[in-house]
Amino acid sequence: MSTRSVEILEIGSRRNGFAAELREIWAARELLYFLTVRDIKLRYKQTAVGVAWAVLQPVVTTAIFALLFSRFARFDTGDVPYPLFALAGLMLWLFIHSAVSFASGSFVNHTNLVTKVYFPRMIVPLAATLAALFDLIFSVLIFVGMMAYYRFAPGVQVVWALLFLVLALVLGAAMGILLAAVNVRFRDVKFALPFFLQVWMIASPVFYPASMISEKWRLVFAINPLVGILDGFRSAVFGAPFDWPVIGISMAATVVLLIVGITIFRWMEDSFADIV
Amino acid sequence: MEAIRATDLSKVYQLGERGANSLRDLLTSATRRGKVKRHDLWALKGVSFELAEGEVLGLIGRNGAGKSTLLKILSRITRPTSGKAMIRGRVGSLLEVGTGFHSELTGRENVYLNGAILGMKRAEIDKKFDEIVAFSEIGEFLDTPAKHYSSGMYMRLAFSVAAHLEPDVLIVDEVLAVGDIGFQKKCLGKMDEVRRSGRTVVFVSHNLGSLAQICERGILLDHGQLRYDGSIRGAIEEYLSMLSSESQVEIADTAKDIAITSATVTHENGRPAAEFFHDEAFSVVLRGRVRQHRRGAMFCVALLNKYKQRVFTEHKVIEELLDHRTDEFSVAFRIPGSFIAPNHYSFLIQIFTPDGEIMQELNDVCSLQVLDGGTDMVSHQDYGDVLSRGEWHVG
Repeated sequence: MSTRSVEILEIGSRRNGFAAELREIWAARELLYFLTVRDIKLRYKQTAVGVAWAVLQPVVTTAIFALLFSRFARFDTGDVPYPLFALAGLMLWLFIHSAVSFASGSFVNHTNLVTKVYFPRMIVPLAATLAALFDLIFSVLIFVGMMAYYRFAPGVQVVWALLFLVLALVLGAAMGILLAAVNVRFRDVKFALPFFLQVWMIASPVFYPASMISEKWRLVFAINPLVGILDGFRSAVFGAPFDWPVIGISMAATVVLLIVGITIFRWMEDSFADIV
Repeated sequence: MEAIRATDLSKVYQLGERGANSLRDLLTSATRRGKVKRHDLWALKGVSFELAEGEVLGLIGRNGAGKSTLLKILSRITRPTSGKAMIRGRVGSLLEVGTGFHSELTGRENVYLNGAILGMKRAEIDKKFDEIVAFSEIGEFLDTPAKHYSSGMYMRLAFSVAAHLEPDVLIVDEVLAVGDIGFQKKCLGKMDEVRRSGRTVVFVSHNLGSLAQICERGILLDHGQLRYDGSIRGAIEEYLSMLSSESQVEIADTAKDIAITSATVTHENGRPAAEFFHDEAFSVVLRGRVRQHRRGAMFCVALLNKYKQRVFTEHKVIEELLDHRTDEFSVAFRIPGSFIAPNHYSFLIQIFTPDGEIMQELNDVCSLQVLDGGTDMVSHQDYGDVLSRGEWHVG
């Protein structure tokens, strides 16, 4: 007999515990990597300008916002030049937007990954979310270039920016996981999503500062996780004081959303292969 | 020691109004609760078996007998409604060749992605990469996007990845039917290698010949239930006798002037069968007795589609077919291959008098299944009843 330990797989009508599922996802991390790379490679295949889209999107949108809101309607962004202010919000928003859009279609567009093979299914929307990070890297580079152009040197508290990037990633993953699962059952997602994303953007301080909202309402507003994430990120890079209560509420909302997303996903995933 | 132990596995699918497929369905069904008609389909019902380490099991049964459901449960793609299974060792399942292959990715990228999807570690793929490429014979196209591959190359590369998967328990669904004859031989050779390496294998195929060659154990499923568990020879024999009993109908002699006493669907080689590939011919054989000749009496044979509508109707004056030295007859009506589209069919068989009176009628008998052996329509749901023989022209 070989001394190698033998895996024993138990198949039953009930799903495994969440800890076991996390271990499975960890064991399949190489697949997560390959799927992420696939999603990145496929994103700009068969497009004329290719990866340039990753640069064009934030630059052009920032230019439009700058034109609109520095000439016609002005927001008080303190001593931060408006284009810089807008790009800081836009880059995170564009990341959330593409993560959620791609993740929500990740099963429906690749049904064979569900009906013909088994691996921890959460990997599929996670890969789509991670692939969206690729665009964010370009945005960050443009942002750094623009900071240099405006001679805007960030202080030490810029290290906090990492926390808000991670929070944005968690938020993207949470929404992606949730919508990917719901989309398998209810194709309404495809139609509702563009509308939902539009409303979400307007309801988030992407092109306006969170400080525009009266103090009294800001805490309620912060239930939208993007409020704290965007405001916190800007405070970190522009050296403004952090609004911790707002950030705290948004962080809590992000965690709640993640728990809800994972719970609904796990609740629905067993029937994926039967209904997709 | 057993590698697989399945205990009382069952799977129910709800048909008809299969729940809500859009939010609106859910809302409307919520308001009309109780009125929704559903019926349960037991795709698998109380199936138990054990498979020892190193055994090679062939799963047989008709379409819809539960083979795929069983494979999907063992592969963890779907969960059983009740019952459980235990599998000892690493499981690799091949229910499809090239899952996750993307036409925009190169051969190299697809090998890594597909390998990872099948459960291989990156280091494992690295180690076997040259072997996989050599086996697939795609050579210089390795770094070309797969969309420029011929379908043969595509399948060869996909199969090569799958063939180099080395799990303890391998679950395979009919993937051998790919590529040209030469490559199929190579694949069978690979399967034989797998068998001799002492791995446990569960194998589904419609090709009884290759099953008999590769497997030793056989399990026959029928309507979701285990009907036979034993040697592969025994399972195949049981399957064939089950099919022939259904593709055949025996009628008590009616003492009429002309009577059909049996109708059987047969393969080209004369063996009763109920499943045919789309390019295979099949016959319906009518046997019976003539007591009194009736001038102008006719056989009428109509093929019925799954909705029991006629696909075609064939008439023949009986006298022209009879051998007058005996009062018994045996006639066959042959339907050529590459004509009837893959689907489920049965026959309507009648005897008419010249003035239109029906002397005998066998309605919806001799059911048979035409399988897709690789038509251009293979990925479509519904083919219609016959394969198109038309051609396209410009102008």
